[in-house]
Amino acid sequence: MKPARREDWLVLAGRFGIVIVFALAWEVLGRMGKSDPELLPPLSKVLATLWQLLHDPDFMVDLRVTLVEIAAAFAIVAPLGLLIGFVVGENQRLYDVVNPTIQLMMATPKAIFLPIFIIAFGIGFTEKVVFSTMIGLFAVILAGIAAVHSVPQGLVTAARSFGVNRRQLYLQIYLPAMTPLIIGGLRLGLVFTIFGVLLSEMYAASNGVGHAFVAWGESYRMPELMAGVLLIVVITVALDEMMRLAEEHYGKWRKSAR
Amino acid sequence: MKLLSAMCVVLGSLAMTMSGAHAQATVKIGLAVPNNTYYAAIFAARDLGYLKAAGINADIVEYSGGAANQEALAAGAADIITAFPPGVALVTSKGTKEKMIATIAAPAYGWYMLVNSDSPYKTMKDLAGKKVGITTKASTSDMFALWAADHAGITVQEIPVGGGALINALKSHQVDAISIFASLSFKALAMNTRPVVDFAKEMPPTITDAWVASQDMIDKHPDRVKAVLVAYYKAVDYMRKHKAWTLGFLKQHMKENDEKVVEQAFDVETMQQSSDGVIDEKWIHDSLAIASKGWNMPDLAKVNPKDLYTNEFLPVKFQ
Repeated sequence: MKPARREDWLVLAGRFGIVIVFALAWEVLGRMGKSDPELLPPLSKVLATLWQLLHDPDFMVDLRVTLVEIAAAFAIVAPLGLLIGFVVGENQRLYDVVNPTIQLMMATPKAIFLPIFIIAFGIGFTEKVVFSTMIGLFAVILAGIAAVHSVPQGLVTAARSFGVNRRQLYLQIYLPAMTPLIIGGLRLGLVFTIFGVLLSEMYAASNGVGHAFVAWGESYRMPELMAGVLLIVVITVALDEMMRLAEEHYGKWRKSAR
Repeated sequence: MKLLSAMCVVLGSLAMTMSGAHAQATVKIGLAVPNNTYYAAIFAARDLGYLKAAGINADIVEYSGGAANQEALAAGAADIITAFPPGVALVTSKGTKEKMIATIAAPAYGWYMLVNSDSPYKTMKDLAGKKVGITTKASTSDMFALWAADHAGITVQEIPVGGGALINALKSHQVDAISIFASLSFKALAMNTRPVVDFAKEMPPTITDAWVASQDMIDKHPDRVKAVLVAYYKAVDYMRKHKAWTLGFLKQHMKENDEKVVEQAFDVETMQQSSDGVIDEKWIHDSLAIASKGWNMPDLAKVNPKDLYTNEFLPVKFQ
């Protein structure tokens, strides 16, 4: 494994530095009375509340519900989005026909369809999964299309001239070329999926973290609300970071090709 | 012989399960907002076993506002919901078939127009042209704010901020006053605010919350509707008679650590909400008149209150 360069360490230190400065500012502003502690509780209070929440059986049920909904929705978004993306990307005529629709759906704020989904699917697990699947799907479809279109045709031609078969072409040329864009699309799809689950829980649900957010907000429980937000941010960042590392790993050949 | 015994056990269990399933009818109950003390009794009815004893398996869902609640009823995702008369009038005019079946709260106990304690506003008149935070447009909060302004002979700028942001908006001076509901009002009063309007004392009595059932539910399952109401009001009665238990229950339900706030919620809401669900037609009439004027919807005042409710389940009696 190549030793990390000094520049890499500096970048990492800078990133952590931003987080530390933000955390210190949050804590100090509250303690110094520069911000209303009722509106913005100090970070230490929020962290203490988060610790309590993680030991609260009721909240852990809500968290599990939300995570299961996210997992179920993303398990549909990822393969379905990529499959549609590949099929559309590979066929120029099909692409010309459906691309405007896909772009329109991507640009439309899909939250406006939530009441329709409630009418169609109720307010339970199915509605949460179907709605958030719709929210996350189009980002992955577009990534799939872009991934197919990004394969350098020169490489394909060169590979064919060496007599590769279809299987070799897809596994050794298409897949490595597409992987970084695919993972980038999946990252975006995941973020949208999480957003879709939380939004639908906040609108109408009997459990879930989104439902807890509304309940805390309605009873003006700011420490819990901030703690819940912090937890969701950490979970989202952690998942996204895992995917980013995978994207970096599979995209190494691009850096070495420069 | 062993196999036969095992089969008997399995078949017996299945029979018991099936008979249990038939005895419990599922009723989907939608509440307009979470953590509302007026609705706490339905959870108490569940926890005390009143609903189960009545053969009801209650699926209780807390929505994020009256609009979402009404959508759920229209979609069949809820059988019984909480709503206020103008809301019912609006949706029935669009074709949704539903009726108010019992009063939860009337008049508006715990509802206030609040300002910061250090603000220069002493009366509602002082808020002429100022910003008033409400939950959403066409909500009870909106209707009350417009009534207060009209009653004081002024106009105000209404700013919909959502229930969860009312106190934030006031404390951060983004708005000058808020039209706020119980029990969030008690929390706000504990945070250096004071009322310029007490809606329970100053506004003509109106129904702030009622149980509403779909016409389908009323026609096909009146027994279940009655069972839910009996369980609910029986729980209200129990809560009133067992203060210590109720304070503990409300503290957990509201997830509120401030015992003063919990005690206020008990005194103002639990002790003063309807004990038998009786609907006074004048409450509906006045509610529609206020909403009609405030929202500039003359047709709302022409709605016949008789079309919006049924008293076939009233008064709710229990043993």
